[in-house]
Amino acid sequence: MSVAANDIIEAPGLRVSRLGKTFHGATRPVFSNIDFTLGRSGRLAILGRNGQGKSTLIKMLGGILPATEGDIIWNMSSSWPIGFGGGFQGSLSGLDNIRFLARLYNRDYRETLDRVDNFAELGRSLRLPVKHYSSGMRARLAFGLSLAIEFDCYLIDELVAVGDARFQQKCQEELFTHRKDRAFMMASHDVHMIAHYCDRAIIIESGKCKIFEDVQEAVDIYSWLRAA
Amino acid sequence: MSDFGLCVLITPSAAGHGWREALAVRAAQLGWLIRDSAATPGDASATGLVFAHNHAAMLAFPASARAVIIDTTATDPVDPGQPAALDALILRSQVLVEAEMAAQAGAAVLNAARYALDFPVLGPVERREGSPYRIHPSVSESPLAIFDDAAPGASATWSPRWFVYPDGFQGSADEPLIDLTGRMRPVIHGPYLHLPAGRWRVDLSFTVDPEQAHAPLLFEWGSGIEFCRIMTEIRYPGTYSVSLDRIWIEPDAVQLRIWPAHPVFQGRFGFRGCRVTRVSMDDPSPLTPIDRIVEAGVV
Repeated sequence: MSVAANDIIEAPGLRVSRLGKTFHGATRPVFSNIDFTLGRSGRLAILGRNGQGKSTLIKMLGGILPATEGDIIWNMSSSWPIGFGGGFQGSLSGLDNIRFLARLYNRDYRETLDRVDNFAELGRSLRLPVKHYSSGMRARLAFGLSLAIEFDCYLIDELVAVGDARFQQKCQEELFTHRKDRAFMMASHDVHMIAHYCDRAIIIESGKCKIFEDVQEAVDIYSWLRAA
Repeated sequence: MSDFGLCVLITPSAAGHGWREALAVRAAQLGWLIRDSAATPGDASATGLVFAHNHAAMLAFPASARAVIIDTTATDPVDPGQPAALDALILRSQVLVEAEMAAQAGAAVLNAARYALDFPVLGPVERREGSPYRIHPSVSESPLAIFDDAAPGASATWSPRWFVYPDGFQGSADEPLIDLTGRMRPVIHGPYLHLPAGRWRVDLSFTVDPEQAHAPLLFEWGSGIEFCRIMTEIRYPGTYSVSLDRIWIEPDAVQLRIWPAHPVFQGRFGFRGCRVTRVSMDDPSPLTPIDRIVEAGVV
């Protein structure tokens, strides 16, 4: 195998370097100088108190927010942030939203619809405009679509915040059991889920970001930050 | 064969080795039997020249026939050009504690650094030394200087280089900087030098940069599993000091431990070493409690 080919195989699925974000009009950055890599089956937790920039980072990785500085280099396909319902066109029905995304991602509509409906169990409600959905129904549709279009890496923003207990259990099984070979990044306040599913963690605090190879250590630190 | 005898405890060092040789030559000239207490542990006769390794081995001799040769310098006995290895210092501190106990029981105290000494029973003896002592320039003061004087007030500086840093450090060996980020764990411990029984105070100097957060710090002074403790929370960058004061009932390997008091996300700790002082047992200043944590009054 040539050196170049070997490099391609060994390249991390995601490389983030010197990443920073300052919102328009803000005097201080949300965070700056974030550096990390994620392997093709890496499981990275994103921890931080409210307002420290977890969701901002997830949205930047998902391409929804632009970076102010630094680079995000994907060498694998990534989902949009799961739990983020901002991608839907509210006046379109669930079916039309599925059709739109199937076209966008070059997937077969019928197959995509079957997979979404199988997972989301929305039935005839898919014919209604999404703006009339409850937050739980939107979450089911969003999660169903995220899983119907297979990705190498899933970006998860607070998985436990959506749906009832049965739906959450279903989400976790789909993500962590049926897709255990995939990479994911998960922003969450649920330290038990983080400790159970992730193998590394980053903590964002006061504009600084540190990576921890020991998830339990990151959870310990985050628990103290949250209690302070 | 003579009925006279002398028991000598020598600090292991280059000079100590020279004294052992010189004493052996002198004793042989006098026709004395020469023994090592470690080689003949059952022999309790108080005749001839006996090299002891602890104070108990000297008790067979009358107090007037006991001598200790102390060496408190921080030179390495193997390579005097290098800083003394901590292991060598720990071993030497153990023997110095034994020497101090022997001195309390009446043994004459002699300084190994000199080239001529007047021994009890044997009289004047000279040692030949190829090269003089060389104290490494990085060691401004030997951590064993506390053994130079057994009176209250005697003290020694323990340089940061004698301590252990489990997570490593940045900066220099004499002014290490430690990243406090992580779970509660000792970031500095040591130096495990042996101290005699008594009251010992440690005064630490350190810098802290809490990096716009707060640095919860726990200082422990003690040995084994018994420590006195001071806890403080530092909110502003600066230079600080704390003092811990504890009584040792019996000699032991002592340690100073510094911990983040709980898991922290950020903060830097700069250690500047500490000063260890013998304190009179009836000193009116209060001891640092052992069974509860005292909030520190930092400067």
